[in-house]
Amino acid sequence: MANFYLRTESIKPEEIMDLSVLNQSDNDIISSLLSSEPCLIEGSRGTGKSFLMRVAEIKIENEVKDTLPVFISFNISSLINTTDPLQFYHWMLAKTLKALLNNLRKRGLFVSIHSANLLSNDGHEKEDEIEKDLKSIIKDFENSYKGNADIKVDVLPDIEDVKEAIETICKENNLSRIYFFFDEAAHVFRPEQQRQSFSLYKDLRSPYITCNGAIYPGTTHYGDSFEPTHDCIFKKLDRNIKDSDYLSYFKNIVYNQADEGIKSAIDNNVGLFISLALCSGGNPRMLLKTIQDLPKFNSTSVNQLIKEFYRAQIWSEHTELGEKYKGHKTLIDWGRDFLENNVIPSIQRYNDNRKDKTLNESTIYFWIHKDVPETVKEALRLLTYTGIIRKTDSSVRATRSELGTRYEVKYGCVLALQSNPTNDSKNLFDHLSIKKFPEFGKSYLAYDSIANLKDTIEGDENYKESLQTLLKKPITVLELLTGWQKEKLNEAGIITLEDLYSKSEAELIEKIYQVGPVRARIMKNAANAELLEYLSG
Amino acid sequence: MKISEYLENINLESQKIFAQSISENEEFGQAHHLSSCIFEFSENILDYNEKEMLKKVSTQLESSMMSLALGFYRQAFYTLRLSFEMGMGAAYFSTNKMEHSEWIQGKSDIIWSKMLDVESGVLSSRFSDAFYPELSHLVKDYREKSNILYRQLSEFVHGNYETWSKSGMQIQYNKNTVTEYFSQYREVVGILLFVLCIRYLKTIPKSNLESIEFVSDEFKHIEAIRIHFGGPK
Repeated sequence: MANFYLRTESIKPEEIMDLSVLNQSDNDIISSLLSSEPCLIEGSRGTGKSFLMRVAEIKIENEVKDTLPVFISFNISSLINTTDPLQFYHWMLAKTLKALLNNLRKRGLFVSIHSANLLSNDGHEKEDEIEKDLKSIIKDFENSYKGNADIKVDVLPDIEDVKEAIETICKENNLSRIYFFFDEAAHVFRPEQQRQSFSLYKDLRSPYITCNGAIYPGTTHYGDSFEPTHDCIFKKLDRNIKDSDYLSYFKNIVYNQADEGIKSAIDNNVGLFISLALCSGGNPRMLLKTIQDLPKFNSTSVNQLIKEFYRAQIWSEHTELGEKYKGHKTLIDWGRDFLENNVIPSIQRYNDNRKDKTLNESTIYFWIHKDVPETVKEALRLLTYTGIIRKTDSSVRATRSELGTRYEVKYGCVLALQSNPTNDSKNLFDHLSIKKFPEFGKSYLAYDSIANLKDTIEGDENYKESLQTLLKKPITVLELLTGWQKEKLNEAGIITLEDLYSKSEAELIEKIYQVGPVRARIMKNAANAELLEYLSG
Repeated sequence: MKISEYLENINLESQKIFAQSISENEEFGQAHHLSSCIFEFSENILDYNEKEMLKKVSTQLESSMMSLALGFYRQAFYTLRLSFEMGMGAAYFSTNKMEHSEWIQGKSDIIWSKMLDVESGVLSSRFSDAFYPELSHLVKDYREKSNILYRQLSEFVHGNYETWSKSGMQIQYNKNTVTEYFSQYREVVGILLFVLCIRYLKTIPKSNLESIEFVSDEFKHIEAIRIHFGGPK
């Protein structure tokens, strides 16, 4: 029906501002990105993180002349494995500094004297010392992560040298600040890389540098030195379907890209547009994609599309993640099954019951006990990455005052189960209440199949071999366990990670005095966390 | 007035324009960056003669920019067109080695219409199908843009009437001409980099892609190139 830009990357820089639609919350995020404090934006895929960072970059470029914005996409294509334990950190740093040099060059603050130019060799001596320094720093880091030479990590330039070089560049060129924008988190599923990128983020703190970045909701491995609530302005990019400006905001986003035909089709079928906008659950990319895929803007097409997209297509992206990150495949597939076979049907039953009783209540929310196995939490985190569910809040009291986390299922995924979604949308939406939700306790039957993560691992021989090495490690490596807990486990003859994996929670309770369901779960969770870390790498 | 004084006066006038040009225009940095991009791309090309040709393109772009800064606008546009031709020529000769050798020996010329031939030129479907099929849907548009741009630049070379009012008979600072120049400069380099991507990008080892990351910056809106650099679909 139409041809929309579905990704910020597809938009030429000169078109960004014309396509931008900013509400109060967006403007608030942009102000934070423009401030001197570092800022992190958290949002699932397609919510517009990159777009807001681009807008901020353009604003800085045009309005704050004595600063320099540098946008860096961390595409990982060229990264190979070396023995450097901080390889990812060095790679990110080199990429960041290269992008800085390129931007200084574009601003006319730095000339590539080694490129073809009209000066004779005598002119080459005039290269500024500081640019020379920065280039040699980049070279050292590149060599370290490309494995070109024997890596002598201890002789690599210190981060303080880098900051000093940037400070000198700023002073010499009358720049008050460099803004770095870190986009496209290549490190999304790798805890060690997440930790290294947050270390860099923190290490680059200086009166002359502001680091801004975009992260996914599943990003949790901040490392020892970084605390998101203390070390930066932390902004969530959530667009709540209950917001008063929700529909007008999304209408403007579509109108900015739509031709007259689509605009008039929407104007003549406002109800259908509202259903589509709500289905996207605050995700501009999803709304644009569904409108783009519509053969006609009428109720038959919209109903068919909602069913096809939110029952099936939306899951294909999630399932593809399992192909890309094989270590996570089981959890990714389990998460889908759990949502499709348990959560969404429960929500539907919940809504049907209330409808039968003519209670004016409906829900798209569900609640999970805080002490569910670590593997369940990880599977839910992966679902928030693709945005099929959204964590609304934690420490929510449910039946018997138990504490847990509340999630929202994408509106479209619940509505798509109706035979005539657009007809039922108004009823579902008008009666939505965040206080109503089906609950999933700490020992729900469906958790059993992934309770023991080790059993779910698939992969080739090498993979299994290195896994064996991991399993032979002593349980003393588990940071999540206390000394007492480790001691108790050892006393019960549980020495290695493999010993711990091979025991069920029930066996732990039975075998170890003073260990009940809570401690047994903690112990199993610690073992699973270690294994998840390995799977992610 | 002696000839030396006369030239001295022109030089003084030119220096005034130079000062005004560089103080009023931020685009020189961007232009230098783009010419450096051509140079840095050339460093990833294996064939010596093709590489050398692109290095000359980069130098000519710098030279063109200098002519502009000094107020020699006609010369600036002329050299810009020359860079355009030679850049296209490098890609064209990479698949026509006999013609390349003849050109090096001074026995033949670079012929624009041949290089941009719809059937077999560097922006033909045949060319892109052979080296980078994922970009084939874009070549028609780029070919048309190239021909229009080449025609516009040629007006300065051939001395078309309209160009005299733009560049003037006397050397004098002209803001509009400078703006037009930078816009055409960006277009020339944009097209050249696109053609170089078609011809060479797939031959460059993945481990070297970081040395030409500017390609991904310039063309991140083109999905195939974005993905080539590890970006998202």
